[in-house]
Amino acid sequence: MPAAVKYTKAGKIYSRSHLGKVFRTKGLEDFTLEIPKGELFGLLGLNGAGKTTAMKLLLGLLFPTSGGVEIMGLPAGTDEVKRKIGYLPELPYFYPWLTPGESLEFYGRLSGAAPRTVKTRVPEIIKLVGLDPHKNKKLGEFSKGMLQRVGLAQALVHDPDIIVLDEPVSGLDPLAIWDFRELFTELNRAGKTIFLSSHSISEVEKICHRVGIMSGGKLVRLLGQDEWRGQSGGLEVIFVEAVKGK
Amino acid sequence: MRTGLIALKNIAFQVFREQWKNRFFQLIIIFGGLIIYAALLLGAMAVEQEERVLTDFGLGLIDFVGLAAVVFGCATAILRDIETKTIYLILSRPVPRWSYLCGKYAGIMLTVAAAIAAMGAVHCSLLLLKGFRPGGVYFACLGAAWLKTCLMGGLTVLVSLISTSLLSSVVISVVFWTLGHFLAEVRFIADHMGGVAGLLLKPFLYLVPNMAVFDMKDALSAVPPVHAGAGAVLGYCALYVSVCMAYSIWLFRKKEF
Repeated sequence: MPAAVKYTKAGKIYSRSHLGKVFRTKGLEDFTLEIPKGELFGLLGLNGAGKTTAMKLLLGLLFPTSGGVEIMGLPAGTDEVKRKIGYLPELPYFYPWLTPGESLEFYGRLSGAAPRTVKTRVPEIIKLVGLDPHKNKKLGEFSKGMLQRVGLAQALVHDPDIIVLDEPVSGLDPLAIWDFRELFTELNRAGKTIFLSSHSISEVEKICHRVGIMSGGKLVRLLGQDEWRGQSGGLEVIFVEAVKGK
Repeated sequence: MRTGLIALKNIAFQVFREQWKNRFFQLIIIFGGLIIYAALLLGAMAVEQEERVLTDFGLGLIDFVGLAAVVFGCATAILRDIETKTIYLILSRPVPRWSYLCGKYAGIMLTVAAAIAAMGAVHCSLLLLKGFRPGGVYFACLGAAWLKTCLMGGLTVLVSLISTSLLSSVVISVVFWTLGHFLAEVRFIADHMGGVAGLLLKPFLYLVPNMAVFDMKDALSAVPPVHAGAGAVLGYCALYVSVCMAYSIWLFRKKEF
C-alpha cells in the first residue's frame, strides 16, 4: 500500500528578482519523509524552518524545484489528489457576513462534493467542531478560537482521508486546545491520516505517533513516541538539541 | 472540465455576493445622489438642451462608475485573496486555476452588470419624471457600457497578474482606458512621430483597446448611422477579453502562494 504522504528528496528554492538581480532563498532541502496511512504525524521547527513550505508542496500551492511529492502514490497538486486532502492554514480568513453553515457549504461545493451531500454533512461538521450553539451567527461576530473551529470544519467538510493542519492550536485558549486535541485523536481513530505542524512541543508530544524536527529547511530528526517518552526532559530536550545541531 | 465549470459558477456567485455586500449599494447611492443633484442643476441651466445634457451626463456617469467598479474589482480580486490567505482555502481544493480566475472575472462582471442595470433604472426614472422618453439608442448605450467594462475587466485581470502593486494595476488600466478613447488621435501622432519613439509607439498601440467602437450615442444618432454592427462590437470585445484571459491563465498556472 502506498504511503499517505511521501516526499522524496524534495527541495524548494524561492526566487525573487529585483532590478534585474535574482535573489534565491532556500525553503526546503533534500526533504525525505514517508507518512503511512492512519498516522498522526507532527512537524516541529522554529519560524522559517520550512514547515509551511513542506505543507504547501503537498497542496500544489508551491511547486518543488527538485525531488518529488506524492500522495497515496499520486503526484501532489493534482485535482484527484486534492479531493483526498483537507487543509487548515495558519490563521485562515472567512467572509464575515456568512454564517458558518454558508461558509462550509461554499467550501464543500468547491471540494467537489455533491450539493445533497454537502447539505447533510455541514450540520454534522458544525456539531463536531462545537459550533452548534453559534450556527446562526455571522462569522464577523466570531472570536479567534471560534474562527479556528470554522477553519477546521472547512478542512473536514468533504470527509478527506488526509488532514493537513498548519499551526492548528496557535493562539487558542486552553479549553479550545483541549477540544482540538480530543478531536484530532478522534479523527485519527476513525482512520484519518493527520499531518500537523506546530510550535507547541507539549501539544505534539501528547498526541503524535511520530515527530519530525526541521531546521534550516532540512529534516534534522525523525523520531517515534517511544523515543521521547523514555527520555528525561521529553521531546523538548530532543528538539533543542536537534535545532542547535548537537 | 465539468468540475472546473461547477467551481467557476460557485466562485462567480461568491464574488457577486461579496461585491454586493461591499460596494454595490455604495455605488448606487453615490450615483443616485449625483444624478438627482445634476438633474436639478442642469434643469435650471440647460433649458433648451435639457434632455440631451441629462442623457449624456447620466450615461457618462454610468460609464465612469462602471469603469471604477471593474478596475478596482479586478485589480483587488486576486490580491485580496492572497493577502487574506483565502486563496489557500480555494486552491488547495480540486479547483482548476483557470476556473478560479474565470470565476473571479465572471463574478465581477455579473456585479457590474447589475450595477449598470440599477444605475440605468435610476437614470431612466429621472428622465421619465422630467417628461423625456429614452429610446432604443439609450439601451444600446447601456449595453455598450457593460461591454466596455467587460473588456476593461479582462485587461485589468491581466495587468494585476503582471504588475507588482494595486496602485500600478489601477494606473496602467486607466492609462489603457484613456488611450483607448483617443486611439485615432494617438495613432495619428505616432504616424507623424519620427525616430525611436515613433517606432516603439506604433506596435504598442496594437495592444490598446479601441474604445471608440463602444461609443454608440453619437454614432447611432447620426444620419445615416456610422457605427459598426452590434455583432462586430461583440466580436471585438470577446476577442480582446479571450486573449487577455488566456494570457492571464497561462501566467497564473504556475503562480505560487
